[in-house]
Amino acid sequence: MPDVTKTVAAVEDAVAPPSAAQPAPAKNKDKARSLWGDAWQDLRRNPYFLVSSVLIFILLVITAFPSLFTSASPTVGDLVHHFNGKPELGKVGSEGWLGYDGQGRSVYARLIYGTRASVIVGICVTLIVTVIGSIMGMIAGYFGGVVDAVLSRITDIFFGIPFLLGAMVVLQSFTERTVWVVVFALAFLGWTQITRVMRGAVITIKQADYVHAAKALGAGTGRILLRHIMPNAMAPVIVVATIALGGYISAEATLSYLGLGLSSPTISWGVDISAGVNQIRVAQHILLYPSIMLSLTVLAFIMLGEAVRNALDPKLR
Amino acid sequence: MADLGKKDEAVDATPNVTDVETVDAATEAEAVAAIEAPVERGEPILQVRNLVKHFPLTQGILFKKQIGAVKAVDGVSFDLYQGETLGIVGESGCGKSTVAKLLMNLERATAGEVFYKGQDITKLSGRALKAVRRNIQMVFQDPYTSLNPRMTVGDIIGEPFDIHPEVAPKGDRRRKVQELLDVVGLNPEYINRYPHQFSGGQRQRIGIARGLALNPEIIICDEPVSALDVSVQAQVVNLMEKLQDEFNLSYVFIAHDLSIVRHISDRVGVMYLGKMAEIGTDVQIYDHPTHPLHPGAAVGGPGPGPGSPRQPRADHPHRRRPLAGEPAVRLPLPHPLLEGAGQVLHRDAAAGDPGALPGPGHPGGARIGVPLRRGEGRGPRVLTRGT
Amino acid sequence: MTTVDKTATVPSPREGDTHDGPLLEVRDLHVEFHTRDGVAKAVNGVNYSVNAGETLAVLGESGSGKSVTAQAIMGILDMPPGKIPQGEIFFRGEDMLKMSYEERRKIRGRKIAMIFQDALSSLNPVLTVGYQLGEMFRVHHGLSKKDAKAKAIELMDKVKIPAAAARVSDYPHQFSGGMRQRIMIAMALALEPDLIIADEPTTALDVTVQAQVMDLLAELQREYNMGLILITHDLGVVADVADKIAVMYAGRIVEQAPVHELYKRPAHPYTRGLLDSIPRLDQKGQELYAIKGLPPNLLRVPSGCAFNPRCPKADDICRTEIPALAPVTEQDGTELPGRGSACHFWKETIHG
Repeated sequence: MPDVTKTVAAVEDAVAPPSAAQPAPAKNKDKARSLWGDAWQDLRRNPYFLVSSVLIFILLVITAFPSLFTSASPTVGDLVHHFNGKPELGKVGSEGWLGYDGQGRSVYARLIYGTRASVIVGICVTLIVTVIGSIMGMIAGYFGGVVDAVLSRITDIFFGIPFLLGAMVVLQSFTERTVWVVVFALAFLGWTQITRVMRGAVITIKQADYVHAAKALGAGTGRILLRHIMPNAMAPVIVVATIALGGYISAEATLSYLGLGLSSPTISWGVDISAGVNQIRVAQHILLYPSIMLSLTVLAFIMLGEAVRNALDPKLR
Repeated sequence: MADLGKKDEAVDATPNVTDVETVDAATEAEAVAAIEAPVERGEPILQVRNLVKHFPLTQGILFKKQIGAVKAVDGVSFDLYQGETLGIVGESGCGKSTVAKLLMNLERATAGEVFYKGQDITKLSGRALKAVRRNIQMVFQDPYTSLNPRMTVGDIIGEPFDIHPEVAPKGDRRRKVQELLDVVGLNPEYINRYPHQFSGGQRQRIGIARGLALNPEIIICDEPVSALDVSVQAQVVNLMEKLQDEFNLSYVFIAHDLSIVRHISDRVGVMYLGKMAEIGTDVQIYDHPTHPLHPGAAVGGPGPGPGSPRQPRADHPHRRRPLAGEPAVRLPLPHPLLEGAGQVLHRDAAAGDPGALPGPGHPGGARIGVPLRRGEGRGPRVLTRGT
Repeated sequence: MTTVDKTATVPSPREGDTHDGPLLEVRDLHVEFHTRDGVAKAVNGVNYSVNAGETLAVLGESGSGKSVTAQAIMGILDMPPGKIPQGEIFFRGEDMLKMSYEERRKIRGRKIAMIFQDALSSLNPVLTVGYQLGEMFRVHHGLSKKDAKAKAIELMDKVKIPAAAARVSDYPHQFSGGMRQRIMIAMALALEPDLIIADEPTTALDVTVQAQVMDLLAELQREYNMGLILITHDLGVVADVADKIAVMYAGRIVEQAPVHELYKRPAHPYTRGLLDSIPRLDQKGQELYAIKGLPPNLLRVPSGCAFNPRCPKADDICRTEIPALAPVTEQDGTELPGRGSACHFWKETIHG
């Protein structure tokens, strides 16, 4: 019998992870780990998250300090380079690196300075939409009844307006279309998605026992909403908002391309893409580089959103 | 348990409960004062009278038309005495959890009263309601959903003090929370951890600590151990009994596990189809059931009898003897949904065979005419009002 | 009430039934889950067997590995994160873990069927129960719609659903919990499997209904001469139905015994603790016996006997050496057939 015991013990040892690995998770376990902390642990090891956050970080730095990346001016053109300006790919970072556009302006410099419009539109629209959408969704979901019915129908009406078409109509009514006008037009129609996500999350969460428990303690509506419902409902909203951010950037480019968004002299990738299309036969690079930048940016935000979604998904834990 | 004056006497139950000495508070301050007043051991502290909760069933989106009602709770009355544990058992859908929510004022009652120290809490608001909240707390069934996953244990147990700042001065709270953790058998150093770092039994202890924080007089326990592992259930039951003695608590203990209810309760109420079918001491209910729900129920629970600590297990006393037929099995929807199902059953019963009924039960156990079950191929039985 | 005609369809011996060992034999099964926090060892060397016509109850708490073992047998384990590093599962003498996907799929449902805890989520809400029951016959036996419906009614009769013919066109939500579980049983029976695995089949049901469903399962098992594995956490549920019980703790079988023996004389402190913590009448008002401590964390199973931190009998040897499932004997050395205990101190537990 002792033999049997030994065999089993030996088998056990063979299967057991190396004992050195044991204390590590043990130490980890003793720390306080919030759900966000856990998600962060997950994100740190996710290559998609790492790639996308590096990209987004670079974009943010470019937005804040474009002059760090190029000494060339995006608006000054030298017609010497007109249609002569084939990219000199060897000279990384130089004025002529990515060639010149039809007016002899540096494509590279325009790329760098155009980042600001795209990123500002993306981030501002997302922030506004998240705030408005969250508040609307929270009120509708938490109070229910008539309030919910009214807010939900309003949401449905806005949701029914085709996003780009609606934005075009809004933009048409402005004579001067600055970045802020574009932000307004996109946010005006974009909040419905967040409202719906928030409302759904709140309806689920308000039935959770911890909300009942807070009510049983005598907590007021404000405390319940801010301490209990909002922190738990934010996760899906953040995911949706991050993914939507990429969408707003491409919407801005689309509107600018159509000539309804930003327009020269404002520098934006959409404006350049629009200009590039006209010269696609002679100078493809004018179209190519802003398009690549746009795709990369949108991709980075969508990847970030997906990574956050996976990290927060309770099913995987 | 404590020797409660009324324990061994016949306790009148639905609908023959004692009269309520109501307190007419003219002002909010008077109401609060009445709520703060202590209650003698053995005196009624919570008196529930004809509590009704119907959930309307509506049709239509814009113009809602009520087409019926789910009678979740349909006229429940009982008294809870200071220091006692009143068990409430019943099958799923019998309305026992709704009763808990009504007692906590988490749902608005359709009709009926809940008197706490003579004041109808269903009609209170403002400061008086807040004072009641401090004195009646709840422990929930599912320890995984009853704790906010984004708050630390310290925040969860400390939240009652944020809501009722008068209970503990700000600087004192951390110490209080750690004391509470200690009381429920958790390491006080866990104060900064999050709920998901604990097992089910530990989470339930956190929930109990939160319930205790405000030093309440009554704790409503809605299936507090049924989500826990078998080996942990006994620990939590013991803890709750210990706390009852220590803090002089009264419990309403709702559960479907009859053996645990019997163990912890001084009196047991049996709910069926939204009504309190029977209420009495555990001996009255389990050993002389007047309600055919029990043959299955009562046998299912208790372990071996006295004097034979292990032997009877060979005869597997734990097994639940089948109760022929399933409640409301022929009814197309869960029973409380049926408008008028009761009437149909009553009519059937009149034509049925009253001889099949168990004889009049022990004196004093209150019985009311509640439809019991619709068996497969058997006439439904009904109990008529007892002696 | 529908009476089952006992003279009808006595199951003929199954074709191809040439194997004469146990119907199902699990040998040294290991299952682990690779999670963010490390490797959770859910099953750590489980051995059990079931014969045709026999009922094995597997008893354990959450995290004991009882359901994971069943999922490994069924081949429905999520892999990854699950992994079976070691072990064999013989069905009629063939190791299912070495079979191709297609071979396993053929066994699933036809030879081994499973009943889950939550009948409502296991049934499709938009299809009638008759359609869902008949589907088996339409797909596997190519019956016509009408014949499949007749078969469905027959099955519903078999599991004693009253007025089966009238209710065959009802939807799952129109049935009560107990009735839904009967429908699940009917679905499992449809192809007359050799083995049914029931994972907590009555946990979601009311006390009054549990025994009915359990009795139905036992009756059908006798009638069809099937093997039955009953997975449960409730000592009370299986007492009458099972032939033998395996008690699992931290992914290991800690005690195995014929059912009545186990209740009468537990040979493992864990089993004894579980039995003792059931409230008894003569203890009313006293403290309940409670197993101290918490169920083990599968990421860090204690060394030695996994139960040692909670065990009243634990000694130094328990902390270092894993006890094997050793045969249990009477005091005089007479063998107790079918009994085993994985405790260094089983003698003291059963005889002391």
